[in-house]
Amino acid sequence: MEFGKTKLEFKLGLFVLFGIIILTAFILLIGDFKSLGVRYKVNCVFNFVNGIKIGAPVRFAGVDVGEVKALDFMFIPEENKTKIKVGCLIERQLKIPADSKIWVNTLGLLGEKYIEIIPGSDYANFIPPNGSIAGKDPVAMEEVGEMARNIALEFRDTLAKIKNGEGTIGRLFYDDALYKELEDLVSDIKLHPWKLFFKGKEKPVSKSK
Amino acid sequence: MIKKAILFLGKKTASFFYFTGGINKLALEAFYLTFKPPFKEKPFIEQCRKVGVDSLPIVSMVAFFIGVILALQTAYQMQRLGSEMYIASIVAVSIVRELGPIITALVVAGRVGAAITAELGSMNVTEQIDALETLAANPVKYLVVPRFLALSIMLPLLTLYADAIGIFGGWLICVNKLSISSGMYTHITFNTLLFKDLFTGLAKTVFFGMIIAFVSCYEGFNVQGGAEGVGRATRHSVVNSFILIIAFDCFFTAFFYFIFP
Amino acid sequence: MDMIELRNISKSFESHKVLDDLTLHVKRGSTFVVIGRSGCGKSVLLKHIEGLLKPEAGEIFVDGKSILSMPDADMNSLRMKMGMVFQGGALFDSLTVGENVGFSLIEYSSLTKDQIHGRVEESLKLVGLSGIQELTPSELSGGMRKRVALARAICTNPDIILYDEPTTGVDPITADAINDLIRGLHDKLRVTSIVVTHDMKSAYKIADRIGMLYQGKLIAEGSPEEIQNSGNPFVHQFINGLAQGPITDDIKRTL
Repeated sequence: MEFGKTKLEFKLGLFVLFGIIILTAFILLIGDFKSLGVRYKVNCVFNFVNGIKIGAPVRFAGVDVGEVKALDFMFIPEENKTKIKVGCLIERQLKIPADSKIWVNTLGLLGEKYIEIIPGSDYANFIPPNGSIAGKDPVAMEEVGEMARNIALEFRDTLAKIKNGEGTIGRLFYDDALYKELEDLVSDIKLHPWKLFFKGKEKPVSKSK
Repeated sequence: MIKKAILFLGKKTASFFYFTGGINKLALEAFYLTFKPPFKEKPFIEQCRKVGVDSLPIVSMVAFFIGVILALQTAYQMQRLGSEMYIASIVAVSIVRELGPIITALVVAGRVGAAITAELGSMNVTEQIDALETLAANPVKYLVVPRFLALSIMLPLLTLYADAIGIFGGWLICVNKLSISSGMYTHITFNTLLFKDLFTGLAKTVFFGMIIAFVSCYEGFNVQGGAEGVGRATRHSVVNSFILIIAFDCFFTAFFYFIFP
Repeated sequence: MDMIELRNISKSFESHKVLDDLTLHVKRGSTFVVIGRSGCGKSVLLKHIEGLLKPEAGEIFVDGKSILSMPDADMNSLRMKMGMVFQGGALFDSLTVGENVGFSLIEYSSLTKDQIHGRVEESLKLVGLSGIQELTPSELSGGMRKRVALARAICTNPDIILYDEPTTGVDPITADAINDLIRGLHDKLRVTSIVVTHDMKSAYKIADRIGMLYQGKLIAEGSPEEIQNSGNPFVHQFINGLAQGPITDDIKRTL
């Protein structure tokens, strides 16, 4: 039996070869954007990460430079506190200044979480591979709510005081005496407009004595 | 009347069990005989050509149109939201995960599955399958094994072609009609795709290939009554393959969704 | 000793009884002709001997071995010693005539290409055909197909050949040539044959014994002379080809 001689085998070979080329192209193209690039790891330590997930992007100065690869709990004895260590894979060529600010931000209308890095100015020190950096805690939704409630409560108290005629603004709004004096002043000026041109002839009413 | 209905239902249920049982028996026998010598390359290569090379033009054409349609339909929705950026990722993920495999499987079931049933059916009617047995050749080994191997190996390959061509169809529309740059389209496409998407899509097609092979061979072996019987068996073969492919696709999609989220 | 022995075989297709408690003995090296009307189960009988169909009751012995309880491997080696000529030829459309005739040799034997080629040539010559190895079965006429099928059956030098209506649908000259061939195989190679036919001229020419199958049973058996002079009214009607008689009366009764 002979092989590799017929047109049929040629066509089939071509077909299989192209199929394998497509498969390789797919794998390389997908891999290129995912995991084949050379990367190093940076650990960001947070108290609170607001639901970030593995695979979330990491942005440096607004550019995608890597992704979150690991999420671990870490007990810190000095502070007697459990913190979250977020392992990020960052592209090798990128140098992050040690005083950069890192926090969890929310992207677009879908509310996807990502790690935001705003570069600092200390270009003498960089975060080394496998180094750690403390992240700024994102404001939790509960805290935002609490704060808004406090503001609302205070505002209500103030309004109540104003209503009761307490304080300067309260008096301004609710004290009729001031209004009457102003009215008298205006009508007085209407009647005797020349009074405005005299100076010091009549002694000021309020400042007398 | 009611008695008739019950009898009818009973008959249908029984025939369903005969069908599943027969398919499974055929599949087990084919698996066993695949690894049993002698191994013949010539019929296998012949079937590979029929399944792979000969189906490529029609699979490519259908995949291309599906890519174009998908891009346009997604664009219609996405332009309202002002997020045309997502077209590339939606087209890529839908084609690679779902449409590429299922379109390829359905086209091949209609094209190759029907041909297999008609061929084996005619062989059955003209006593060629009996003749094979009298010549000490196992019909399952001689006829089913090469078809089953060719289908389960060639279908993933064809799906790869369909994926690539479908994405190309989407690219053509997005670049020429929706003013998305070519680089942007490819970047988003391959940035969104995961290995998981590609491999779950390809893994399914191996099973689709087996479904097509076993259903069409089973129907071919069970032809009764001449040319009319061959026609009926071919129809059954295509319909049953379609139903089974879509049912299994549903199963696999659920399976991958829950197992590899 | 009997080469082929069927004991009390019964077979039915969807409540229609085709073989009913049938018993048949064929001596080694003899030619047994089964006659009977179309559709009376003659082909079914042959398929049982080849192991293509399994009986519901009864036993089948070929060369002294029961084929019903035989493992697949033994069955296949037994089949290599048997040849069957199908009614319509049953040649494989996808193969050439040469590949059809040499099928078993190409698949199973360790012969070289030239040896196989020689055997194919020889077999085709025996049936009066040559130089058609490269044609496909669709290019042949009905009579040629039948002869190619015969060549395929004798290519492996079998001990047993089963013929399903070998002379039906061929011209009288070819039919006589086939009869001569069957006779020749019997005389020279001591091949055991079972021939199913309703061509009485052929039956008288080739048979050592003739049996008549009617309603699933062998109603008469004997040498060609005995059958020719049989007093059985069914046999009498059949061999003389009469439209009126007990067989047709039976059909009228059941209608």
